Amino acid sequence: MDSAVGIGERSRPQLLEISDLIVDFDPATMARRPVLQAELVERFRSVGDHRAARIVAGMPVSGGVLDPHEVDRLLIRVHCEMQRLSEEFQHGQRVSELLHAMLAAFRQCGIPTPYRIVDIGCGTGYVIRWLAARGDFGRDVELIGVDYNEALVQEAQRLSTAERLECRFEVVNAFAMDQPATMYLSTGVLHHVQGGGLAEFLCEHDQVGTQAFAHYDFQPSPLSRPGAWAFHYIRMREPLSCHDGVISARRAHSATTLVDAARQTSFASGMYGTHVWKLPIPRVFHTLMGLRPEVIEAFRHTLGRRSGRLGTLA
Amino acid sequence: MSGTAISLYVLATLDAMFSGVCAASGRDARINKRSYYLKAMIHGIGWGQVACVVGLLILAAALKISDDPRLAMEQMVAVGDRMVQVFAVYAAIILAFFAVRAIPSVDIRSMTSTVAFGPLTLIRPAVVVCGIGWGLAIGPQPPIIVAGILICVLMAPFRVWLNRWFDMKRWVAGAEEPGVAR
Repeated sequence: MDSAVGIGERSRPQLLEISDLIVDFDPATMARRPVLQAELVERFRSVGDHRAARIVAGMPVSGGVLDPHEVDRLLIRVHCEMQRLSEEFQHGQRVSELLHAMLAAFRQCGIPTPYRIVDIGCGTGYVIRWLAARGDFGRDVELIGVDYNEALVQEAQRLSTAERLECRFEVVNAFAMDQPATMYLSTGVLHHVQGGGLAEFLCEHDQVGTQAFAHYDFQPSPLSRPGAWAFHYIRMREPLSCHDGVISARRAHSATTLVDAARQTSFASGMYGTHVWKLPIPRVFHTLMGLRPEVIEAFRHTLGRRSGRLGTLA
Repeated sequence: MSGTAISLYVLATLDAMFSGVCAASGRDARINKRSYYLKAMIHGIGWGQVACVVGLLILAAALKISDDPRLAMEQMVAVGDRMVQVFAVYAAIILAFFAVRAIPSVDIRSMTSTVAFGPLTLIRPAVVVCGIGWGLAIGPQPPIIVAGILICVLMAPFRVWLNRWFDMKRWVAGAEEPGVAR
């Protein structure tokens, strides 16, 4: 998400996440680039985020460069803490229910197998590992997690191997894989892509063989900022987790922004699951969905009683 | 007296057990970790017993230095009864939400986290302070007040102590197995 972060910085420079900036990759070669602590501290100070500046200033360095090994260990701990929130919010089960309906729709429409499900920016791979452990999808479904961060991918693979799960993880650009995904997923990724980068990112989904995408992210609401603060304060131990969790909620895109960007693709796009049942209670996460037009009717049918959660697709 | 002591012991042990789960959460990224949480509960209960013993020693010392040990004992029971009133309500609310969480609905289960368990975790130290404060409001002898304050200092940040201990034991993400640092 490196290039996307750059776009975000131009559009909303005051909202920077530490985890975006303490690692840097060459997008072409995926090689790790050194991050100078002093530069980063100054950058946070320049946008008035003194707390983030203090957190970065406290990180181990070697010759003024953030120690990449320590940064990786920190990010693994942070992702583990984030997984706790996913567990509490039943995110694995939530994705599984949607995916089962989607795969059933693919089968009804005669879309050839195998179905490749690719989780973009998978981190330590919680969603993919949960789906592999509990999803019961069958052998014609490939579960793949991809991320730019090699340490996170290695951790995802280690955890997957430890539990003998049928899934895999790769350090690769999701849109430059040998075979495109049948369906792309992500959780908490879209808010990292700001400005025009959002439409560019979504347009990259337009690949031969790709039938759908579902991107889960924080839903902005009057409750999201205090809610994010309270939950991260209660549940997180790492200062970085607390900081970035709240910033993430503040950077989150509205449904209108997401749908406007998604409608620049050839997918029929809309929101899914914005409110709890039919009550005026916003969900913590909402889902940007895109489907090939020929799959829509089958998907509405296979969603069953959940079809009311699917907004207008256009 | 024994009823009060048993009630407080059971409530403290329950609290310690859940504290173990809270302190262990977010440290192990496996999907299937029933045994991990079981181990965390056992550690929490174990440290809860240590806290109970320390609490008993504090109360024994209060009795020892009291001018009127018989009256002090009666007042301790009265204070304990009032503490049980507060803690039992808190425990009942938590257990009721666990019953709600048993309903197999993604939305209901996640709402128990956002609406109940998160806020209830946040107010736990305040509940400990209020419970002990409500007990001490009867105006017991000074040694009992001091004992109550010391027990409050012990129990209100119990989860913080437990978190520190789990940190020291390196129950951390990225370990090959819980308890083994990489």
